[in-house]
Amino acid sequence: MPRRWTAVLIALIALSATVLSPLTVVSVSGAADVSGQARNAAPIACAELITNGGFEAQGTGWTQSSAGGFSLISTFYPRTGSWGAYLGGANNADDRLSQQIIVPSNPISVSLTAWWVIATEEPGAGFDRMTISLLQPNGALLQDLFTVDSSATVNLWDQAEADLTQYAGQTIVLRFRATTNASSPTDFYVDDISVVACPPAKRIYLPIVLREGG
Amino acid sequence: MTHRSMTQSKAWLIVLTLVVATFLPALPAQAEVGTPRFDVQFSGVITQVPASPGYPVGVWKIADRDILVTASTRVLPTSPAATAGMWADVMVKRQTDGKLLALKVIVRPPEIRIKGPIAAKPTDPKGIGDWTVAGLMITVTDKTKISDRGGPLDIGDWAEVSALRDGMKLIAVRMRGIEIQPDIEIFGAIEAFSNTSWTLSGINLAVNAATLIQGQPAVGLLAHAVTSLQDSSLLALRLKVAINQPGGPHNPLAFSGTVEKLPDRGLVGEWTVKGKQVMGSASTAIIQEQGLVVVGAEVLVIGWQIGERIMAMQIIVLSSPAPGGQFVRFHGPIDELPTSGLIGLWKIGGRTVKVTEETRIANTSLAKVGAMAAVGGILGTDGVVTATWVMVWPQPGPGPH
Repeated sequence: MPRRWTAVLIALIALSATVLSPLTVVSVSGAADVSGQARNAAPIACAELITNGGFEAQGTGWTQSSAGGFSLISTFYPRTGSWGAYLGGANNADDRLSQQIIVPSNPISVSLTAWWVIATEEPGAGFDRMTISLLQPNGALLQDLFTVDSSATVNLWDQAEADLTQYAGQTIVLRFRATTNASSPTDFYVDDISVVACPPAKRIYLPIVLREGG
Repeated sequence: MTHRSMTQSKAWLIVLTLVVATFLPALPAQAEVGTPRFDVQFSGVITQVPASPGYPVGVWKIADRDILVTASTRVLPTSPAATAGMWADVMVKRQTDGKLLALKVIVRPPEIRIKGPIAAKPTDPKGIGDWTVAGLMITVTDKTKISDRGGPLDIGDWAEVSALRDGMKLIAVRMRGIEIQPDIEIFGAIEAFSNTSWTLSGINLAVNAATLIQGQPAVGLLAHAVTSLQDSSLLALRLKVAINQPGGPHNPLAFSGTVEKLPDRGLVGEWTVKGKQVMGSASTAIIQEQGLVVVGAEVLVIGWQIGERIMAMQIIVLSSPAPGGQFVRFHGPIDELPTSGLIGLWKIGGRTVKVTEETRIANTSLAKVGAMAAVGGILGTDGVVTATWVMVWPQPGPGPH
């Protein structure tokens, strides 16, 4: 292939790839190394989208409802700090804890993490459950992200994770809902909830010069 | 290769690099997909962790096993750092050289868990002082978190306590009221075990030939015991070691299906569930909260395989064609007993209780008018409770002692 066509091809591919990839086109200052590969210059500023994810400001930012009339923000079993969420824990529970989130329109990633642990009197079957879901602001279900039931290991904090990047640019509601049946209740404890949106890294491409005999 | 073709190769290499570099960051962050395959999963006591600043990478000793933690191991949480004496839930892969490579390590405080009846409580209005739960002395301090959401915390009621050991004392971290249970439960670290007794976190349990033991015990592993309070000692009905080794002995097995055949009398003996032979022993838990066990009931069997048969640790009724209403549980004094034997109608706390051959009765020798008993069963439309279990307390009085 003639050299000039090789150079044109490289330039075209680099340009089209940059433009076609919607999450890489951002105007941030940066630098590139001499090989022509982009590298990040400034640290990426990620944003926490959840208000009061650790519940240390108690109910601030959260909407809660409980079939048994319980306050769902409690000091009983926090993972960190003094406060955490406590759902279920009674028979015929239907406890809901939710928060509306505005997801930025141009992040490269939006990640949910939430710590959870259960205690249960169920004998080993998954009759009681807690589901983490995303809803539209009108209450319509968008997606169930994660479900834990009463067959999970008790007393062992674990982390739920989900990728919410597809909801960029939308206003969504993150909801934790616990339901229990008529006997042997299960406690679902949640703490340290986080939704982090990270903007794309800045990329700049320097022209590539091919030299014969280099 | 000619100089020209080398140049072209370089060019294509650069093109490829650019394309990869451009597109890769655009891929969304992937959530963890599934659980990595492991060779062994266990929970045990941490006795050694790498010294800072290498933490958490290095060799950990958990339940007396050397566990290699690398940069690719998922350690939760990393802060605060684990210390000797804490507990960990570990998922490991066995390397070709025999070393155990950790895929995931979850560190947790060494909280002993106890579910049992409250026999004594302090007079302090905040509950601060010494309690007796499951026959064990538990100290509640002003730092103990207490919840009565799941039930009251009075004498005769049941509590779940998470406690830390301080010398010979158990200091409650959390205590919550729970429903009356058919058996007492203890979760702790194995400190000693033999054919006649186990010690979990300082709590002694008697073991006999009827005790069902799942998993190979070892000092330092955690274990869950389901026990019966007899006189002042705890007899282990079921012991489950917190180890899961696919392909190993007594590997956990669970399946659900229809009950096709039951033992001729009672529930101890051979069952047929979904065409499989299932052994129900006197120590097998038969959970009948969703309905009574009859042929045609849907059940979940949890146990392990022994040859062609399955030894059942638990059989849980999922649904039943037997008539019946809500599952109820209560406790009270025994007001009346059948004139002969224990099968027949009892009166407990003013309620009529039907005891059948399928009813599990704990402490039968103590069953007498005036003794305290706890009952779980299905409430019929006639107001009679068909008992699936009855637990008689060792001594008469206002509550379990």
